[in-house]
Amino acid sequence: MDNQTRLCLEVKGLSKRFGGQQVLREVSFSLQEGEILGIIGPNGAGKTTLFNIISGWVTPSGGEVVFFGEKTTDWTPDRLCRAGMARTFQMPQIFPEMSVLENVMTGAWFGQPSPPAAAQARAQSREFLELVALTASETTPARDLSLMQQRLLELARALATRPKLLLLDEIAAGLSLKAVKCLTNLILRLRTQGLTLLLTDHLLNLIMPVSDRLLALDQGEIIAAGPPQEIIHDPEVESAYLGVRDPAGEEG
Amino acid sequence: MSITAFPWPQIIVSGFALGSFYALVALGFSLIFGVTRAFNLAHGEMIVLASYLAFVLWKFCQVPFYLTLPVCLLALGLLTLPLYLLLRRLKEPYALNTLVVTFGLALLLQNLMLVLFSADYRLLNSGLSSFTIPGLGLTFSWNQVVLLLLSLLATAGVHLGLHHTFLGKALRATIQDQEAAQISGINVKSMSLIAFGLGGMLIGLAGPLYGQNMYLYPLAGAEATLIAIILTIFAGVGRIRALLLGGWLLGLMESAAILTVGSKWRELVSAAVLLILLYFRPQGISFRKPG
Amino acid sequence: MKLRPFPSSILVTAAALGLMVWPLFFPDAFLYFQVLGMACLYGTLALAWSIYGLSGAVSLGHAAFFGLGAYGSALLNHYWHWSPFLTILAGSLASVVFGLIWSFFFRRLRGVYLGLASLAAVEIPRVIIDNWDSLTSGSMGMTGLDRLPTLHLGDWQLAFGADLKAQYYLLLLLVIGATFLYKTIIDSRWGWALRALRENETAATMMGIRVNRERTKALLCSSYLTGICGGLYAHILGLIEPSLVFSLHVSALPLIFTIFGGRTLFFGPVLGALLLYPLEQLVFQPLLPQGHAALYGLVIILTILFFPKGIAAWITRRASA
Repeated sequence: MDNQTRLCLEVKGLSKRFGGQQVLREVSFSLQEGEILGIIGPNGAGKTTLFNIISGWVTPSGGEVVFFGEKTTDWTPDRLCRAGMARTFQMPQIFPEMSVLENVMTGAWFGQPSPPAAAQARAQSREFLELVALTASETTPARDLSLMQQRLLELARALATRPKLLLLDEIAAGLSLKAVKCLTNLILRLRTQGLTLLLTDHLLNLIMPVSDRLLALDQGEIIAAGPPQEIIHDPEVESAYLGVRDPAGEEG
Repeated sequence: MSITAFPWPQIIVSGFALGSFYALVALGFSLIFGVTRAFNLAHGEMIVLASYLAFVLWKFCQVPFYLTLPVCLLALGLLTLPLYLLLRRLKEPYALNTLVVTFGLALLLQNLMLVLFSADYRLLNSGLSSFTIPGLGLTFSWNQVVLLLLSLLATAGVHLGLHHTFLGKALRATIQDQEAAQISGINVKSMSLIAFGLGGMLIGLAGPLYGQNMYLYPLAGAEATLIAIILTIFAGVGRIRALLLGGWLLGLMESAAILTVGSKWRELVSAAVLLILLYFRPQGISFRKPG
Repeated sequence: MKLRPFPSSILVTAAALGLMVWPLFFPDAFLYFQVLGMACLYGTLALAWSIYGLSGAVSLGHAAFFGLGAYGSALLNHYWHWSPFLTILAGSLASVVFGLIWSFFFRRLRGVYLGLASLAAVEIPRVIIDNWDSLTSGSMGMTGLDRLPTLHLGDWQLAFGADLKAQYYLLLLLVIGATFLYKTIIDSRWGWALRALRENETAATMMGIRVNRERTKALLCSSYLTGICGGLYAHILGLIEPSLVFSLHVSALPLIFTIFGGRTLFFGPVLGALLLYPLEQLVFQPLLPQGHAALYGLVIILTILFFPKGIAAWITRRASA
């Protein structure tokens, strides 16, 4: 990383308590512009809660989120979107009755800081559909798509909001190895366009090859941070993962 | 009105009688909703229909009041069968569709009753007198006593049935989790049918009691539906003790309202209670087991 | 080769022309002027309901807005003697205020529970107006309201109050305007936002749509137009009472017309009103003077069962086949 890049996201001492349960404990990290940061951790480690706080869905019990120098802890998700933060969900959130193109167009029309004309939004949407290489025709109703296609659609729609930071939550869950390969290539292509990415995955076959840095989360705490190869051989991370002995093995 | 003259005993007794009856009114709704997730906005209209049936039997066929109870029980139990068949055919979004369809059914029943029985107010007079408790100077009617006893008996009966019979346990399992119930070999379809039948019988029981204690007119059902919904949201489904508690609270509030600010404002009580409940519980009726 | 779907706007324009022209041939059909005029009023009411419906809401309580519009207008007319058109426009602001309160208190409610809350919400203005005898004469209602005024255009007189034909044209104009407004909303960027939040609120928020603001805007538009319908109703009848304008019947009509006509097409709500209301008034009322509204109950049950998308969808499918 050269020193010219700006700080994209700062997370300072985030804590979250649901009832009596401490889901996140003093989580702090930062993200440079153009960087890809992967967050790993077993189920229930607090990854999704962390995402929900950063993207404005959940208010933290303590700590703050700074996005390009602005404190955004109490911003709503739609305001964050217009400010340049986009995300996808574990369960794809699509507009079921809209066509594929209409889904993406919604992102282009409403998610950008200044709304384009309808025709322009439609043209942009086609570009993003092409970029993610969604095979379904643009007039297909979104509810008829497969899980993989819905993920790609959600991704294209998120990209259509022209984000500076993109959060991908478990985007590879439930996908075949081949599909994960495609996604890997796509993400690497996105980074060349200067996008900053934050992604989670509890399997490692997507996150390992794309991330610049990894953050390991366990029971709401960061237990390790550093380059991917270092992190997965960290004894604490290995013990947190138990079953996953050789996560890099599938890389081939 | 000074504090000493405030008719607390009157409020409490009539509130309890009314509240127990409210629990009975809500019981059928809650059972049907719990097992099938169908909202029945025509619930109150069906109670009023049962009421009119009892009224006709009593007035024109000289059937004694107590015999109208089993007749209405049976008649409404059978009448819910077509309703079950109707609601079963609805598609997603199921809850909203049942709401709209039964809204139409309520309108239909109201107008049919208007045609059959006219808009006049009627009262089923079962020939029971009132009595005064010596020393306290309080007057109660035997109607209230019958109302209280029968409502409590029916509610307790359903509670015992749900908790101590095999069928009841299967119904409760379906209420809590349809899918899990299906997986464990419970026939959810027949459970739905049974819930509708039982719900209908409870409606049939509530009908004559309603006509005996309140004025009967074709549009009277809306109030009963509102009460059923309020108590079901308050208690959550399949929780009969909470239903009874909610009924008592609402009954006490209403009779307090009648005796303090007058019956014209009483109509606001149930609507306001529903709005307040929904404000604090926007997700509506809970299916989870308590504790 | 695939046929292009028959453009429904041609169908609608033809229907509107037909509705404008027929009185030239039957200048004395006063019963029909009256019934079709009211059908146009209820068509506007159904459109107003549908504007809120665009956000996914199924309201069972639009009588609250209707009644407040009627009373707002009636009170201004009764106490300050304003002219009816002015009172209608100003009095309907009472509905908008109620809409603001509604959107704040019901902001977390969706689907069935929003429906239930709206059903109960009608009781609040109704019971208050019912009991505020000194202002509204309570359940006795208000009588002797001014009828709609007469417009003088040179030699030409348009007596909207006294002449049923002029009244019919006024209400026809209203419903055509409202249909145009409704179509404009559906086709606009705002209409798209409403569609998105109706289909998936989480996704809509993620796309930068201010979900609560858009929904509130829809409710405020809807409540104002509903209030205008209520105000017109008050001055057409000349009298109102709480049980008339805050009734379940008034809440049910727009829902029934919209679902019967078709929720998915812009002319569905009006079509439903223009077909069902005359059917009820001209055919069912003579048959069943007491319970003619039973028709509406029956219609809604059958529609949801057999044509859940309404007859407008069925007609356009037929026309394009």
